Amino acid sequence: MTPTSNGQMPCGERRDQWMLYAADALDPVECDALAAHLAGGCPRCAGSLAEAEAALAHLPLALEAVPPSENVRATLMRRVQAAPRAAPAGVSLPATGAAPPRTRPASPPPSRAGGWLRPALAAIAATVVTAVALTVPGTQARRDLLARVEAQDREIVRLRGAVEAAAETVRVLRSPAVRVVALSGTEAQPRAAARIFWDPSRRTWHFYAAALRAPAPGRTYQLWFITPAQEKIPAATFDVDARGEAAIEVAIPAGLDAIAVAAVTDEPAGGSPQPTGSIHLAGAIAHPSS
Amino acid sequence: MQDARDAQDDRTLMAGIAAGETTALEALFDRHAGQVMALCLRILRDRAEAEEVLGDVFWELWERADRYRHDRGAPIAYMMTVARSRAIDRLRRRRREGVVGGAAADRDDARPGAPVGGAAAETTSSDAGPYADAAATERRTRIRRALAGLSEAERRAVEMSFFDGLSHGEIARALHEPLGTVKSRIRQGLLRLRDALAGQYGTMGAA
Repeated sequence: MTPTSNGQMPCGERRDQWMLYAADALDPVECDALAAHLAGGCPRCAGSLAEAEAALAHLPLALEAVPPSENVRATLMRRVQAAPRAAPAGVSLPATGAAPPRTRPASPPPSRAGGWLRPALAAIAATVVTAVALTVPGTQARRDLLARVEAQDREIVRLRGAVEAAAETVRVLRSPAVRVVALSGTEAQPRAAARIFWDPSRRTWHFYAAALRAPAPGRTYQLWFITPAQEKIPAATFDVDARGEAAIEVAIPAGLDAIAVAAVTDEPAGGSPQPTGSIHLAGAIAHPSS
Repeated sequence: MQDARDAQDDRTLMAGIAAGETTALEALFDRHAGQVMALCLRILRDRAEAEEVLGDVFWELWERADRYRHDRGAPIAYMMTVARSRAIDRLRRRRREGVVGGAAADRDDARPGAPVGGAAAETTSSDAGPYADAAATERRTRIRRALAGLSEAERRAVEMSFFDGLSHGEIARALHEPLGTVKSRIRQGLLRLRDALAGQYGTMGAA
C-alpha cells in the first residue's frame, strides 16, 4: 500500500479493496473509508466497484438451475395483476454499481390495500433514509443508525405482509364461490382448530389454524390432501407463531380433482413425502373439488 | 457472443417491465427463475423459503424497476445481487431467531461450504429455449473452471462467505482455523476469481 501525499491510498491500489468491499469481506473501518471515498464521486473507483460486483454476480451462475414450483409464477402474476403499479420512488438511494443498496434488507412489496398505509410507510422510509444520508461521524454511530434503518425496514415488511394477507383474506371471503372446511383437533391436541377457505376457481386453499402447540424441536406441521382413495398428497409444511396460530396459502396440484379429507400431522423438519407422525387436525370435505 | 445477446435481450425486457408490461416480467421470469431459485435454495436450504424469496425478487423487479441502471450492469447480475441480498437477509434473521434450515438441509450440496455445482437434487432446462440453455451451460462451465482455479481451502472459505453469509469469525470457528488464515484465504480467493473472470464481465457485467 502506497499512501499519497495526503495519506490516502492511490485509486489504482484500491482495486483489490473494492473486490473485498463488494463481498462484505472488509472490516467496518476499512469499509467506511472506502464508502466515504466513493461518496466523493471518484469515477475510477466506481468502475472498480462495478467490476467487482459483476464478478461476484457470476458466482451463482455456477449453480445448476432449479425450477421453482409452478405456483410461484402464478402467485407473482396474480400479485402483479391485483396491485396498482407503485409510483417511482420519491427518495432515490445512490447507486453503487449493479447492486441494490448495500445495507438495506429486502425491499417489501407495497400493500394492495394502499390507502393510509402507503403514505405512512413512505414517510417512515423517507425519514430514516434522510437520517442515514446525513454525515454521521464515527462508525459506531453510523452502525447504530443503520441498525435503526434495518429495524424500521423489518417493521415495514411486517406491516405490509399483514395488510396484504388481510386483503387477500377479505378477497377470498367475499368470493361467492368460497367454501369453508372445518378441521378439528384430535386427541393429540383437542383444543386445536383450523379452517380452510377454498376458492375452487383459483384452486387454492387459505388455511388458518389456532391453538396449536409449537411442534417439538426438529419437527414441523404438515398439511395433507387426502383423496377418496386414501391417497395422501403433501400440501405444505408450516410452523405456528407464539400464539399457536398459522396462516398459509396452498395451491391445489393440477389433476387433483377430488379431495375427501384435509389433515395435519407433525413431521420431521422439511416435511415428509408420506405422513409419518401423529394427526393433530382433521376434517372431512363434503364435496369434491370442482 | 451469446452472453452479450442475452444481456441485450434482458435489458429490453427490463425496459418493458419499467414500462409496466407484464409480459416482459413473465418472459424474464421464464428465462431466469431457475437460476435465481438455485441461488436462493443454495443459501436458504429450504424450498418453501427459497420460493418466497424468488417471488419477492421478481416482485421487486416489477415494483422497483427504476432502481435498475442499465449502464451499470447486466440484468442477470442485478437479479443475482438482489436475490443474494434478500436470501442472506432472511438466513441471518433465521439464525438470530434460532431457526434451523429446512427441507434441503441434509443435502450434500446444501451444507455450508459445500462446493458450488455439486450434484443438484433437481435440475432441468429453463423455459428460455435451447440457445439460452446452451449459453447458460457454457457460462456455468466457465465459472466452474474459474472456481476450480482456487485452492480447496480458498474455495470453501469464499463459498461460506458468499453463499452462507457467514462472517470471517464464524467461518474460522466452523473450520477450526485461525481468523487471519480465513481472511487471507477469502481475500486471495476473491482476487483470483476476479482475475479469472476478468474477460467475462465485459459482456455480463458493465456491458
